[in-house]
Amino acid sequence: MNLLKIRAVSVSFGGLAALKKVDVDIRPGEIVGLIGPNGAGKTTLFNCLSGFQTIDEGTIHFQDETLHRLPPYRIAGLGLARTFQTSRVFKRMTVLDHVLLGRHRQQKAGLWGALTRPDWVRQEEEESRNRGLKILSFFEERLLPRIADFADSLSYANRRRLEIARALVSEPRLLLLDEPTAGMNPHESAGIAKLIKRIRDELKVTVFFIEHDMKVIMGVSDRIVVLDHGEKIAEGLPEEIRRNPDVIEAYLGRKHGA
Amino acid sequence: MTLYQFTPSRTTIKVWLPIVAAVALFPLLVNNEYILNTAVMAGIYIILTSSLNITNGYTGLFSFGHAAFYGIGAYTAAILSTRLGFPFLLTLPLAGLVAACFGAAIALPTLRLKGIFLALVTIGFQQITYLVIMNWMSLTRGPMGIPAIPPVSFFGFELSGNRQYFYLILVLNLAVLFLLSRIIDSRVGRTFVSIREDELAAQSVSINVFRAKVLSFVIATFFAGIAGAFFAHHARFVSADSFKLEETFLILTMLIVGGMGSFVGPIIGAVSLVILPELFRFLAEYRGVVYGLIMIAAILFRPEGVAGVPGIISPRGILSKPEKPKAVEEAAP
Amino acid sequence: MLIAQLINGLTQGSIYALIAIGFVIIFGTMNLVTFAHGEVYMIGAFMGYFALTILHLPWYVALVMGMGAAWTLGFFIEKIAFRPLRSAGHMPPLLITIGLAIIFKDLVVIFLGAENRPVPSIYSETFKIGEIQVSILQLLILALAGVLIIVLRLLIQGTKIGRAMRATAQDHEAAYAMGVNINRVFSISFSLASCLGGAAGVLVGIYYNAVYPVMGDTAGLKGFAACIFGGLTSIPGAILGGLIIGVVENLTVQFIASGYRDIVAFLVLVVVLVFRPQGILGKKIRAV
Repeated sequence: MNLLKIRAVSVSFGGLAALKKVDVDIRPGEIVGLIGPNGAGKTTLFNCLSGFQTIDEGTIHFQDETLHRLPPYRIAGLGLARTFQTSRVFKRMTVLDHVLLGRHRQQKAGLWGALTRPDWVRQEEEESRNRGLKILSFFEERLLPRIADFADSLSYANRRRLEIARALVSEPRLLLLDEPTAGMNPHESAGIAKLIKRIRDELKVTVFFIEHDMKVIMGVSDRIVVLDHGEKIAEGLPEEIRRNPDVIEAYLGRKHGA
Repeated sequence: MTLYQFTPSRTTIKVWLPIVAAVALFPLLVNNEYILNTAVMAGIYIILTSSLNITNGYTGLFSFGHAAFYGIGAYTAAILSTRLGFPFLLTLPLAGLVAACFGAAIALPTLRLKGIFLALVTIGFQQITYLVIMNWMSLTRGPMGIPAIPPVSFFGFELSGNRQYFYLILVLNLAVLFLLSRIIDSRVGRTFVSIREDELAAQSVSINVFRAKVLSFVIATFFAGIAGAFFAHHARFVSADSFKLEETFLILTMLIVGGMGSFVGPIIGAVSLVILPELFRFLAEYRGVVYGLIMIAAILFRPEGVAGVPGIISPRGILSKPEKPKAVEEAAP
Repeated sequence: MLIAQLINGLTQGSIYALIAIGFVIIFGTMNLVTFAHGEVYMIGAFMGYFALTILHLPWYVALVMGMGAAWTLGFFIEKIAFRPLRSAGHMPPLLITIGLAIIFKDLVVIFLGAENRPVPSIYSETFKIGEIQVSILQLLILALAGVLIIVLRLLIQGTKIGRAMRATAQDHEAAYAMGVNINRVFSISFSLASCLGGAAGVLVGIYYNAVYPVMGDTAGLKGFAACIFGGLTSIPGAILGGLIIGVVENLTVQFIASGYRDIVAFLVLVVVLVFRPQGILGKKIRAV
């Protein structure tokens, strides 16, 4: 039973093909890594999955729902959460607001609820707050002491963590992480690797993530998918990928002729 | 202190209560009708500025049409009371609803636009509204305006004198500000701010950005309409000249100077800019010039105003040397 | 007579076109919008009035003086509103120009009074081409507008500064990298645009025999509507927009009601923005 079914997805910008007939399956409970040289189309694929990019050909199905024509907010509403390559936090909102906002999908209070504050709205807020604090505790003492701070006062690494926290509070089925360790030092990256495992093991969230840090990818992924120039050139277990000549050539370039 | 979170909560009631008490006592000490009239106007502008803050401050939409909805509310109240005899208790909410309906009608086709384009299309509607009011003689009496609007009356008791209107606008202010604070400090309010900060990220947490923008617009225009109804019954006469583009600019100046995106910012801005020309009466003729200078000074030196959230208008507001385009920054020593 | 209205509309439209081209130049090179353009137009008009009625100078001198006053004013507006906020986006300069517009208009009202000031007629003769009554004044204005536009085109296509303006309009960074003095280009572009606005003001004063302090508000916005219609970055589009607005306005006055005249431009503005924000001839913009 596939959680995510990507079939023959193709996207081109002008004349340039960014994705060419890409097929990927993600099963529930997996941690799947997505790698490839710069410009391979990884973020484009994520944009297609999350609805920010329309596809020219192919289909995407998420838990039997057709994804590829839905607007981004509907896709997020179905339980597919993502983080962005360039850490998109809400600069002038507090850490607590971020996790409260992340619960948007689960909450139902609208204008009337805001004005009249009946009991169920108060409970909803309280529950969201508790859930938010619980997720923040996943990050040890990095975010919890800072719940009243604006996001733009956080360090770069903490902002990336906050973005992940915001995605997690909505209890997604599938989490897309776009280069979660970008700009981090090895110690911080190792922390993210552990976090990804915890996300899958404790929160039961399936993870599909883009990474350039090979240690993290190899150490954490159940399976790895490799893109190059918009095509899937390899897929398999980390050890297989590590030894795959096509993958090596894609990263090192065609140094050895033909 | 993060002033934008400054919504009345249990602890801050202690701060608000003495202020409100002082404001409530002030008219008992003053007998001058003119001063009281100014105070009433301040109350009207607090509502106008606070409601504009919802779209321009909290949601980050650049609406330049606020005075048009103020005018729609005022004319609705004027027409309903002079032609159909509706009392204030009916014209007030109806004015808000009519303004909100127009707000929705305008929001739906235009809120896909962003930034300068949204600003322009709202200016377009502002001008169209003004021109329609001026020309639709049978409905609005055109340039002659609508006179003899009945004063506010509650079950036979007619309000007269600015002191009584002051207490009414004070109560209205407390109600409006209370409702606005509840809206801001809720899931709805968080949604608005997230849209201002990063629309894409907001979508990624399942927020229907377009619908939220429309809601923000409808809320803002509803309260603008309410302010208009009060104005109509207080001034007893409405004409389109009070609701031109200049009026929107005035409200916007108050919002910017007081501070966008915070709760007290609009209040500070409205009160200061209504009182200012009265304190410097000799500058009366130069009022427009003064407002213009204040707006310019604010943008150049402190675009977040007195109490606003920094960075809504621009990331950098202080006078800075003209920047070289990015391509050559690396080469500089 | 329909043709008479058409000619009237084209004449008025050519004046709108001059204002609209100003906006295109500013947006094209600087990527910014100004709300003070209407006031520049008004001050140009007043300078023309001053030259004609007080100094009794011939109309062509008045035109040059109006353009000169507008150029100078534009120079200072650019220094105050746009230069200090180079990379602050387009909202801060826009707001400053709003403040400046209010200040200019109020100062003119305070020092010169709010009433209409009559401008003497310069050519009131008319003649007939077949069935159509045409006034010399209309032909003059159309001709002058045409001349100004042609001169502008020669300037932009043929001179060094014109090339610099075009390069800047395409890509600020590349132009800078090639040695273009961006600050000077911005300053000249803005002054040039203002100068055209001033010319439009003088022509309007001559055509309608009156100038008054609030004439700039609607004229500026109408010029902007024409500019948006044409696509913000297209001069031919702006000309087309101006002419169309001028003609439709006149038809509206003739067949609907004179009070609704001003609505035409704003309806154009709203309709274009809602249905086709990039205008008729513009490049597809990402509506930001």
